[in-house]
Amino acid sequence: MTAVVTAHGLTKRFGDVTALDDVSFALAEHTIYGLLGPNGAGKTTLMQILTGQAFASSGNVSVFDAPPVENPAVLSKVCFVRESQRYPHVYTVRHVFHTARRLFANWDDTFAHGLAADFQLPAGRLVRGLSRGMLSALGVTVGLAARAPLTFFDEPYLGLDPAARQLFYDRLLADYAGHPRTVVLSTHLIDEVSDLVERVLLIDRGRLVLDEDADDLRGRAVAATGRAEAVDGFAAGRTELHRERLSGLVRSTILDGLGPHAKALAQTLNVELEPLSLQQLVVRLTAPPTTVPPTTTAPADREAAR
Amino acid sequence: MDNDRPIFLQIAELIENSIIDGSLVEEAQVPSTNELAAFHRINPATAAKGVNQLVSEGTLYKRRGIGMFVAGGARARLRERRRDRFTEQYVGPLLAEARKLGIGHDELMKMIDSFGAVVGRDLG
Amino acid sequence: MNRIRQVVRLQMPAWPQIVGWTWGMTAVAFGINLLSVMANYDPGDGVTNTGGLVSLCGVAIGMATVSVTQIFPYALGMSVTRREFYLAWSLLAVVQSVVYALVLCLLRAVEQATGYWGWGMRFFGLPFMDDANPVLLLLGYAVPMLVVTHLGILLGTLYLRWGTTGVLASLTLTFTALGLAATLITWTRQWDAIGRWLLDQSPTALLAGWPVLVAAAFAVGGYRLIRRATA
Repeated sequence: MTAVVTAHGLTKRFGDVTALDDVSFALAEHTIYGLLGPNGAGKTTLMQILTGQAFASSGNVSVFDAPPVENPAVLSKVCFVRESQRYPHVYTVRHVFHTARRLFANWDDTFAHGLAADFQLPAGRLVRGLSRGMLSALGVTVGLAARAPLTFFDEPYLGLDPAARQLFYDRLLADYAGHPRTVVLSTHLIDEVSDLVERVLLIDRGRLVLDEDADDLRGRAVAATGRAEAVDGFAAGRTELHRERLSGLVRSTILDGLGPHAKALAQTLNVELEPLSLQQLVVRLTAPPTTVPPTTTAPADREAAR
Repeated sequence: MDNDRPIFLQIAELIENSIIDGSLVEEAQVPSTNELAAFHRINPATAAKGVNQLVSEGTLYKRRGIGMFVAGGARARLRERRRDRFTEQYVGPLLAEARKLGIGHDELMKMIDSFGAVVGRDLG
Repeated sequence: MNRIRQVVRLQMPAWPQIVGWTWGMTAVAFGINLLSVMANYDPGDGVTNTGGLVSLCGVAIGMATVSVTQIFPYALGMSVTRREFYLAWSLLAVVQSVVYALVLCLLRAVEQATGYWGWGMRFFGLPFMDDANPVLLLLGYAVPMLVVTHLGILLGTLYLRWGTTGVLASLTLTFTALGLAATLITWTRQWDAIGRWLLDQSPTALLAGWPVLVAAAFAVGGYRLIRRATA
């Protein structure tokens, strides 16, 4: 694997707050990544540091084999589409395209105008007069048409309706096929992109908690539903992430639940197994500690929570 | 795509199904990785992994610069393999459920026969 | 260099506004001054100096500040480095100062040709430089413009780095320092010496010499600030 980005012990502090805590990973060439995690997990901060827009408190970052900060050779290969990107007051959509054409080496004007037509972006409209959805469409268009070898999309879909989002995913896939590059897609709409991304980076409270192939994460966790003793029997020796109950019925979310014998065991115990989608898995892995609701204070639960 | 199994396996299986049901005949060209990715809205690398698995199993073969093709004898081999798995995949769960509901051997056989008649796909 | 040129062009869409506001407001100041001079006109007065150019300087500061704060976050988003951005804006400051100086030279010529607009009002002419050669005259206009433009850029970078609080705190600090310096000069009775020094300087040195150092100081300060600024 040719690494496009490597980060070692990356840490970012804002006063008392640690936004990124000793994060290390590598991004490979020609791969689509999903950068997932709850709000405030540190995703945007991470992308800002990788694109030289923010400064790490400690740790090393290398992008195309060099530090990205103030490095024109590196940054000319990088495009960062921010959800909160600010545009000059007097800029129209056309101005944005003109400047992007001059600043991104691989910019494809025809592609950009095709995308603008698909998203129904009015070229003459002032950017500050665009709706939230159109602003997102503008960012998406710039990010795709720039064809930068390393492209970051930070929640690019805000205000986009499902049809426009589908258009974005389709255009991304089609263009990626013809012009492979490294794409990092930060999003909360995990179910929508789970088939699109090749690898998943999950950040929670500044720490990297997952760095795996998206395909390997399929079926990584299961929801096991059945009578309490049966589920206890099935869950024994496995990592339980979550537990719900309804009268005598228990649903337990179990990590690494589908070993070779798991299905047979579940059948014998009369436990229903249901694979977790990537989105559900992320929710379970990053759920903040909650106050325990009264129904789950029974002795059996305390044991399960061990 | 299902959540419980890797997508690349599902892609491989979809192509296998097309070969078994005859929609992809032997020596026919298989859709490219990018076509598969675009159609199923999945990552091209994942689609490629599925296709490559079929290549390594000898179901497909690669013609450099042209694409992937269905290997000779692939259909027969796939059918053979599916038959081997049929018992474990379909008969096993069927018998387990029947036992749970107290359906006896004869009753089960009768159900299979009459259902087959209804859908017009008699197995005879 | 090519890259810097492309970054300079980020400002192009704003030019109609920048030029329009700058010269529009100067024209308004000119009109008001002219009205005021006309109202108090007495042919025996000779030429009235209005110091109207101060308004042009004020607008130039504001325009530079706005331009920096508006376009920097966008430039960063387009993968431009802070260094490239700052070099481009410094280049813009020089070009703009020279162009404005040329316009001012022209307006000064018109002013003199029309007998000070027919009402004895000196609006565009520079003091002490009545007999300067054209090059020195151009510098006399361009260098002070460069100073105020860089001051505007500096204020913009202060804002980018530390926000409104940073700008206000810096201004407070500067005024405090200037006040203390003035107090110190008064206390040590050095005003006469300073006055003599100023009188010893040629108008060229005062308008086009020493201010170069001030502009350079502003430029260095702005560069150091922007290198750690985030969008």
